[in-house]
Amino acid sequence: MKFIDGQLLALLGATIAFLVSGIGSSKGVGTAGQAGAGVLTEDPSKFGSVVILEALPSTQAIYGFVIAFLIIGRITPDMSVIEGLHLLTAGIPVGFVGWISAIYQGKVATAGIQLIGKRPEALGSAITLALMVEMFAILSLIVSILMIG
Amino acid sequence: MIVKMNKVTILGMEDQREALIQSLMDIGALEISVNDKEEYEELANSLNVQAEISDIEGRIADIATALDSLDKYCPVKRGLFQSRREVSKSELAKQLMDKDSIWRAIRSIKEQEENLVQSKNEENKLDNMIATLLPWKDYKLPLEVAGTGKTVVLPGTIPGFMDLSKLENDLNDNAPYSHMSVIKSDKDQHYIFVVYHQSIEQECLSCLKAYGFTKVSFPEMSGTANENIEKLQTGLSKIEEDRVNSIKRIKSHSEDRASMEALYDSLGMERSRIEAAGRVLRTQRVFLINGWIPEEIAQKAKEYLESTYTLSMDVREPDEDEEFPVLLENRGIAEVGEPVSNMYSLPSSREIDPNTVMTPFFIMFFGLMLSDGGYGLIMALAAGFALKRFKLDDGNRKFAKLLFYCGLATVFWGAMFGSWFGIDALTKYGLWLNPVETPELFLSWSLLFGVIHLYAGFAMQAANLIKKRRYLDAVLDVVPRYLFYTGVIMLLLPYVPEVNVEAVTPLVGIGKYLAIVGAIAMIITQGRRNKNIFTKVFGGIYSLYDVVGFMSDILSYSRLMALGLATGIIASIVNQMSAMFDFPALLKFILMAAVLLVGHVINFAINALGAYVHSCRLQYLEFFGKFFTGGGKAFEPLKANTKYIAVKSDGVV
Repeated sequence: MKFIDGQLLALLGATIAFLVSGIGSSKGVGTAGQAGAGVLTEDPSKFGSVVILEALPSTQAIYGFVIAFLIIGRITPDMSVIEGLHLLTAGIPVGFVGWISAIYQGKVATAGIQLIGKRPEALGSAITLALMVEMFAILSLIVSILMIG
Repeated sequence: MIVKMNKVTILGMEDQREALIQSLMDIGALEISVNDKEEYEELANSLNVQAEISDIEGRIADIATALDSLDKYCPVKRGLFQSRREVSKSELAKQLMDKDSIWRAIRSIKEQEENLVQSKNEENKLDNMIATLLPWKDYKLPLEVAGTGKTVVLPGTIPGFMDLSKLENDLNDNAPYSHMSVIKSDKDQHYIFVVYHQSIEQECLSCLKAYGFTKVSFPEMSGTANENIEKLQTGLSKIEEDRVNSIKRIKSHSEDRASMEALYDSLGMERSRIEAAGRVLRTQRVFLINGWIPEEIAQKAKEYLESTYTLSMDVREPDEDEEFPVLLENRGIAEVGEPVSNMYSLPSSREIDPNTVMTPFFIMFFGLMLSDGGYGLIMALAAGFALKRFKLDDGNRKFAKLLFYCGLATVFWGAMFGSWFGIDALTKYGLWLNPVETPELFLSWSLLFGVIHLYAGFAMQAANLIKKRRYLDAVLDVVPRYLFYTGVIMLLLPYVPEVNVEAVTPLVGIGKYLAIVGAIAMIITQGRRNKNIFTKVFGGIYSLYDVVGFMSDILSYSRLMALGLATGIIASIVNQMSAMFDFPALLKFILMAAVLLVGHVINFAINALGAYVHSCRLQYLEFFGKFFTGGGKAFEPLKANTKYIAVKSDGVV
């Protein structure tokens, strides 16, 4: 009996893609949400803006989800170890870049939420700052997609 | 388009000042600038209105609290989008005739609100007391009894995990002249009382202490616990009665709501007038107003004001480089971009309003990123319905229109990609390409859209320079860039995924020459502002590095592909998941409907949000970064800023 076959490696790739980026997103959204609740106690009318900023770090998990699904879609019962390794590698960029970028995007979003707490008109700048971090997650998504091919 | 403003100076008689300010408010198109008091120090002063304003703000806050409490106890059904009541001036005056009775109503509501807060506190207090007395309900001795001449009565608690029978034995052994009774036991505590003779106090207490006994006292209470509880409960029901009465009294003022709202708004208008008066410069007899008015109505306003009042109004164009307040006036598609660009910044008064060029890009990129025709259709229908059905104020109307167009663009791209709610069977009817099958091709196109967007940005830069009559700069700054960047892009064409390398070979050849010509042009022109020849050349060479920034800008448009792909993939995942349950028919159908509904709603919400903010970002950083100065100050004319009522003006100007 073989311990490692292609199928298992590919599944591992899907796991990395979603699990690691999902951890990052949970953390990022979590930090931003706490700051958001603080701002809302002062001014409940800012709910809309706060939700937008809080939701931004959730995209990394979505990218991870997409890649995990694409990988699962390519798994065949008789795939070789090399093919499996190929898909495992494809899961790594979106997983790890998503993990770190979601955490840092969460921090930027937190700062942005505090910013709009003081100056509500600065929502545009707050979103733009947070989206600068998002760029890397997007690039990692593209790299992963191209690797799956 | 940025509305042209004229600078206005009004010199009038002090005794007509208040009437004039009222007239200006009716016109609603003149911004009164803050005067530089230092300049006129000796000659004139302005009113100190701070005290008056804070007084009026206090009154406005009072009305707002009263209206809030009316909303709480007798809510009125309002639509999703509240529109203001139209009221003519005479109606308004009639409504405000009896201000005293309105203020009586407001004060009475305030009083009742205070009563309600007080009775809430009282209620909490009583509830707490009842909670502490409840375990002692079966304690038959009056609470104030602490003993007789020779005995002591001691009520108290011991922790629930102590063994009561052991305590009883201990007491019997060590302090024979004592008696212990258990009133009640719950999972935390035993409620007991002990009677003992004074002579054995020491023994008894030390024995109790070993079992964790805590003395309970009932200060200021007489009669048994049960009697006290009943008394407190009567108190509670009285409080409840009071509360019902207070609320009833608040409700009885609900017919005053309309006049309270009118008063709220009329005080708001008064505050604006006082603020305006604070900006006016005056001497004993005359006053001076400096301000801004849109050019197109300046003459009409001048004629009207000069014929009505004794004043002189001077209207002139601003100086060449003088900044003026910015008012945007756009029609059609450009108008809907205002919510997007205003979130970044108003344009400065001396540049071209970017909305006309920005909006089509914004809408197209939004559509590309949401990219599902079904979602787009729902969005367009919802926004269209809101536009038709509700009377929206200006800002909401523009936003709804923006969403409507974005929805249509999404339908367009959905049709191009054959993506309708992610249904796999429909993808083959796509008019153009299938993003999931050929992501590389989609990526190439996304980058091309980016190049077009960025080139439009350079064109805007040229247009701005031309507007400032710097024709030479317009040519020298923009044309070399176009040549050089286009050359570099053509050189890189073979490396773009999904490009037919043989077909582009001739382009690469042209690109080589174009890049060289462009680079030389950049080196010659870009350092021209530097002083000596070395820094000129160095500045020119250094500007070649801009191409790195340009390339990273282009790569930024890869998000069009990433987000566009994500929507379709997740939608199709939702569809697959909904069919995964293996249950009897009816249950399967219900579960399927639930999964489809929840899944698509979440996917729509998160992707629409993503498409919106990322499309914004592409405008703010990549597009505006090429030409936009921004930082304009919004035009804030003196006008009736009301919340509930819209006063119909007589339409003089």
